[in-house]
Amino acid sequence: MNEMSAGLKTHHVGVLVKDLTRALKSYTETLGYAIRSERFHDPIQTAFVQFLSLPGDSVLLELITPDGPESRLANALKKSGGINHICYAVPVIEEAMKAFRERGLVTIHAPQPAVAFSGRRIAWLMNRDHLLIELVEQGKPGEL
Amino acid sequence: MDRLAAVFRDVFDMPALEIGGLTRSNFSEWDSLAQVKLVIGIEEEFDVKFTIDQVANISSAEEFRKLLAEKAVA
Repeated sequence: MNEMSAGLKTHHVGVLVKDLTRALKSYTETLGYAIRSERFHDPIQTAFVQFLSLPGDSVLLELITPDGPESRLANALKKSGGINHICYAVPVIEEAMKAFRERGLVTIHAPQPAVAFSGRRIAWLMNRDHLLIELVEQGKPGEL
Repeated sequence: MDRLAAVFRDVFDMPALEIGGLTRSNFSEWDSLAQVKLVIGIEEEFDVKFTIDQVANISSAEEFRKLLAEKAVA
């Protein structure tokens, strides 16, 4: 493992959309994505999310839409939709967070179980370019 | 020049923002993402590092100023 990378693997890219149903149709019909999950409610993002992927591609696409007018993503969507965050799978989430904190990234949410990943934990950070970064504990083969 | 105020003005994109008396509770733009952006901006500007608890709990511009004073950088 490259020590600087903390064993990162790109897990998914999160894209903020206004209408999840319409976006699903668009990504499947125009770019050839296949739906990989049911629709989940994510209380941390205060959003509904659904995962897609391209055939043969291990990196997922997460479509995200606010769960209501009070969602913390509602304002972000008003400003602009599009790419919202990048998620990396890591072998040991605490070790990765400690390493990234030492390198100047700031924690937004400490690790907690995620419905979309069968209880595997996720955490949120931001880097100095204000990129939102999600970490997820590595899953078994075949899991999201 | 007030370097701390400059970070706040940059994060909130408000060139005339006055930070005296500014708190998370009296300034609606100061949400959790803004908090993180402030921490990143202040750490860069003053070459300091806040603890995880400080990142979560700082709730006013004055608290940032006090912590910087304790670290003897402002």
